[in-house]
Amino acid sequence: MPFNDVKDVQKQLESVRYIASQEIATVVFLAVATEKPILIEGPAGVGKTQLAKALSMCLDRQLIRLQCYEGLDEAKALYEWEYAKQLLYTQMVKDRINHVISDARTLPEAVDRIASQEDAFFSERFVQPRPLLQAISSPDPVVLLIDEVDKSDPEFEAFLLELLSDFQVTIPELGTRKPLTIPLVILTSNNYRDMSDALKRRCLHLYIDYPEPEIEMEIVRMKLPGISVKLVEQLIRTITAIRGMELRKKPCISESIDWARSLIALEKDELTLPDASATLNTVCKYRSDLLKVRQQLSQMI
Amino acid sequence: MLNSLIKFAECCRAWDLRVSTIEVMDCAAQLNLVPIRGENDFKTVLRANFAKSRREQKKFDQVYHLYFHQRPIPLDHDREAVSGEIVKEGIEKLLEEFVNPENMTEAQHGFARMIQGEPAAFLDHVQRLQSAEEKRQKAIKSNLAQLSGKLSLMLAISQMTDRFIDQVKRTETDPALRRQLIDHLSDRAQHARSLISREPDYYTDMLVETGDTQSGQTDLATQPLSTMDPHLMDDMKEMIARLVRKLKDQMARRYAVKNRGSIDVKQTLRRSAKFQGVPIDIRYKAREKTRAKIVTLCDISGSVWTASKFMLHFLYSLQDCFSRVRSFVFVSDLVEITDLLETPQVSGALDRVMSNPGINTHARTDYGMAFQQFKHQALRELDKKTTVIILGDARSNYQNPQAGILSQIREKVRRMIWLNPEPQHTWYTGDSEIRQYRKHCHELCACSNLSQLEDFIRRLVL
Repeated sequence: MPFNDVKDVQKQLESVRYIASQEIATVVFLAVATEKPILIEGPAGVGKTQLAKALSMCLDRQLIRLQCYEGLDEAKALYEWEYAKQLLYTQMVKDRINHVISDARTLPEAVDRIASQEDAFFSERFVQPRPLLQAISSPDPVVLLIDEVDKSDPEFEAFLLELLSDFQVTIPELGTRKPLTIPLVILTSNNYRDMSDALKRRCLHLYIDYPEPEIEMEIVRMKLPGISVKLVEQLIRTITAIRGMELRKKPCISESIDWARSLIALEKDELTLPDASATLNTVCKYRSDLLKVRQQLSQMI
Repeated sequence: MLNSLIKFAECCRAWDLRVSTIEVMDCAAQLNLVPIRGENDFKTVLRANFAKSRREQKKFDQVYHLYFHQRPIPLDHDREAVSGEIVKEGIEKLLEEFVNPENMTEAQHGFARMIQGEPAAFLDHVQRLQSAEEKRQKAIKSNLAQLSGKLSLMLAISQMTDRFIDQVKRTETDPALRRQLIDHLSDRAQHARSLISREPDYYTDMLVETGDTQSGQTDLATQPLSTMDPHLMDDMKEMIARLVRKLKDQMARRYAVKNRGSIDVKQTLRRSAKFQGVPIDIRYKAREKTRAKIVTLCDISGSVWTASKFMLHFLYSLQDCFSRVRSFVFVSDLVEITDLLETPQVSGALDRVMSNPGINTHARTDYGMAFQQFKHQALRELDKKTTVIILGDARSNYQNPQAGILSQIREKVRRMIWLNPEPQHTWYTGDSEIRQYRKHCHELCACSNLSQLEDFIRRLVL
């Protein structure tokens, strides 16, 4: 087993620069141990996708990513026949086909002979695997990230079910493809719509919220080792206060880091009101938010 | 352990969380895998298996707290403390002596079980009471069905608790045990009451909420729709027409790129005839447009009507972006106006809406009743491709809001969006039920002026 216990998950994730809370580590440990997919929910920018990347790094597995969107279909997600290649091959081997049927006396016989060869054209050679098929036919286990699954259509969700429970897929011409290895599947959702009960039943659920201030400080310090202790504390306190406001878009972790980075670039080691106000546009991405926060900034620092 | 887990799952189900047998089995297996060092570990495992969305987590937390935290446990600092087992026995004795199962009502039975540490039946009873729908009355409207149900339940609890405590005082001689029994009984009663008085609750931090925003557009775009002058209406219509053209342009460009589908074998072969059968010119199928269905539900009472009118105008001008738009309007009774609006002259048709015989503009707005009628008329036709848009100020004249119906609708559809035409600072005041309704929406937007309405429509179609 890749992880010994929950503590080990935390330690290994930290070695690839991802700080996981006890809850995250527990769910990840269970998912790996029981080979179940994880469905991650949470606000934008709290590290949902990052968790998948970190896991692929610390497990030393390839990360296969499928970004979902409206209109995503099997041909884009699972496999596609390479029609162009099939057609070109048919052209190139035309003589050979003529040879196969040259001594056929009747038309039905000729058709029979071609039929006996038809597997040649619907074989692995002409299947172009897409992320989902790649994930289960890879000889080494992979991490499969199905990002923003809430953006996909209900049809796609229905067809994910087979994959998520048995890790197998059915291609009509070739039959059912059994998995060579079981991937670690991570689905993320921003709650654009509710997922079906059937899908939820197959997954472990994990909600990642904005991190506790202490953990966030640790994250910023890890990403920017040179930063002064005082600046980090002030910065995170302010960010936490800003998140408490009613905004169109709340600042996420990457924005905390960007803010810290820009303050370091300005060679500041503490947060003052004028500096904060001048660099606020790294944190607030809408004009209306910016004005709102700037008004109350003096109380937050 | 397993026994306790199964009983807990039963409570979850009674509180309207869907927990399947498979999930209970998974959970039991997982508890053996993780070293449980503290309560948090235990709760994390249970929660990852039993509550499968952020929304449900609140209900889970309630049941969890009720089930695992309120069992008769002796106080540590009390030297005379009696062990939990003895308290339990005491309670069982009490119930046996006192309660005659034959002539107990369902509510009394539920509460008696809850005192014994098995709240499932009681939760189920409260849950049904809370999701009960108001019956339709002809003459005088009242919203008391649910309230009176709750009231009689409250009374039953108080009576039973009083009788039990009385009994304990008379018969129990051991003072420590007596105190603990009384503590336990009043604690349970307290919990039962809070379950009844609180509405079902959900975490709403995944809700998209767009409030008032400042923007640098023209006066007309930011003028409140509710105070719109009649002579500005024509300007307004022209402005909408302009916005509609712009949006359609953008849509067309986007589809041209996105629309290339898989190869069209038939056409490619036909073209290859030109090149001695060599498929040089490869043709692709155009992908079918996946278009959303829209169902709108508009309050048309008083000042809200202007906002509803513009929203409908906007939607119907963009009708070819959607596969179907159905519209309902209500004051207290619901009327479908889809047929009326499916004409090229939407604005003219909108002016005729008010003269529809089914609409009684003098009635008092009643959201609960409108939702109930909507459920009976249209719930069957909703599917996962439908977006429901409700436009209204949620001012329901203190009548039963019946928010549970929205939760049922939400389960059927892709997205549920509430547009509130009031300025944001008045949303949660007075008889507005928006606090109840927002729990069940995916998105809550302000739409008090044209610019906000445009923002919303843009997000909807693009």
